[in-house]
Amino acid sequence: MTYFPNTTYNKSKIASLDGSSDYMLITAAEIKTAATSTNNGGDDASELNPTKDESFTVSAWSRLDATNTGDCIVSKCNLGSAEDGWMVGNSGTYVMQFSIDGASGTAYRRAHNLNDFEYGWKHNVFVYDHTIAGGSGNTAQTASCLLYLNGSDFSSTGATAAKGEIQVVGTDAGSFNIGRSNFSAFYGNGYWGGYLSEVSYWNAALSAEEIQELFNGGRPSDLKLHTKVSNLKGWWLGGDGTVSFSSNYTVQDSSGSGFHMTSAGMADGSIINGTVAV
Amino acid sequence: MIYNYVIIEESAVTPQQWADNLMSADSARRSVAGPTKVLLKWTGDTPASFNGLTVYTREEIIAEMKKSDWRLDPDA
Repeated sequence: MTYFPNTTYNKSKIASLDGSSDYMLITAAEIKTAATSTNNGGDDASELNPTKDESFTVSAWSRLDATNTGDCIVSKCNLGSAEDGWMVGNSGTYVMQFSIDGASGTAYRRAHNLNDFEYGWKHNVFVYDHTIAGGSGNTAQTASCLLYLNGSDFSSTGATAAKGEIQVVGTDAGSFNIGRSNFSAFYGNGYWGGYLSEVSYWNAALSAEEIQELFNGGRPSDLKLHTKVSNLKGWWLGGDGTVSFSSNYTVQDSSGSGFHMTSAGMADGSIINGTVAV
Repeated sequence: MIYNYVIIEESAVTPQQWADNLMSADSARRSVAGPTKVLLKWTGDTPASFNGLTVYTREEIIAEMKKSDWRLDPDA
């Protein structure tokens, strides 16, 4: 059973997204100009913009609205371009999918289809590990897309594609989105319907043990205390970052990287501090 | 949060309709094809300024948003 939020760590913010217009983003230009000393404006996993040779991990707590059947949790893609980047979310009737652009528009995907996905809060982790050798037909670049649900590796459950040769992971032009992918073919209308919280981005492939530490027995925790905090490059809807509303929300990045997000389509009151029933 | 929705051509939105819904010109979702339409939403009773317009429930508006006017992906 998953519990949310934690009763001792009480800094979680919960975004209630309506499945039709609500999301948060940081544009590619904003990523490049974020005021941190580590940014250099190029392809770099530390800038939410990994190349095919850089591993990364995305973690998010989610609660899907059962009325939705195709919605995106997080994406980094060039809006309007098919599969130009990567995206993770519920790609059909309770199928969780992690998709990365491959050669000539071919997507490499991992998915699980768990019957209990629609119930309650879930902890989702998506890992791109460029060091893992791929399957047949690979040449120079191989990669692996891994999915974890509630701390357990479900990469092999209902997989729609195996490890493959990855040509492109992201594009400088793509925005980083929470709650939306504009590539609707995989994700319904692309907008998450339900709740999202504690979304984080790490510029490394976290290990199974480190993902267990994130899951923390079903209780969100202070990521500043995580073993791999040096790889924490984005953290939204959690931690000390503030959330404020004026026409749109400003959602501060609690990682210290300065990747603050702005909402679109979200009404005041859509992000709350407090408890949402399990 | 349970919303009700309307779709209106942006050029036809009245000041009262902007005032009566939860979206602003800065936050409302816009269509991507044809005359620009905006998605407005509110909670509770339907304001009088929206009388005569088609009011969508959440399930209905999600179906509307899957139509090509609102989607960017070129091959969907």
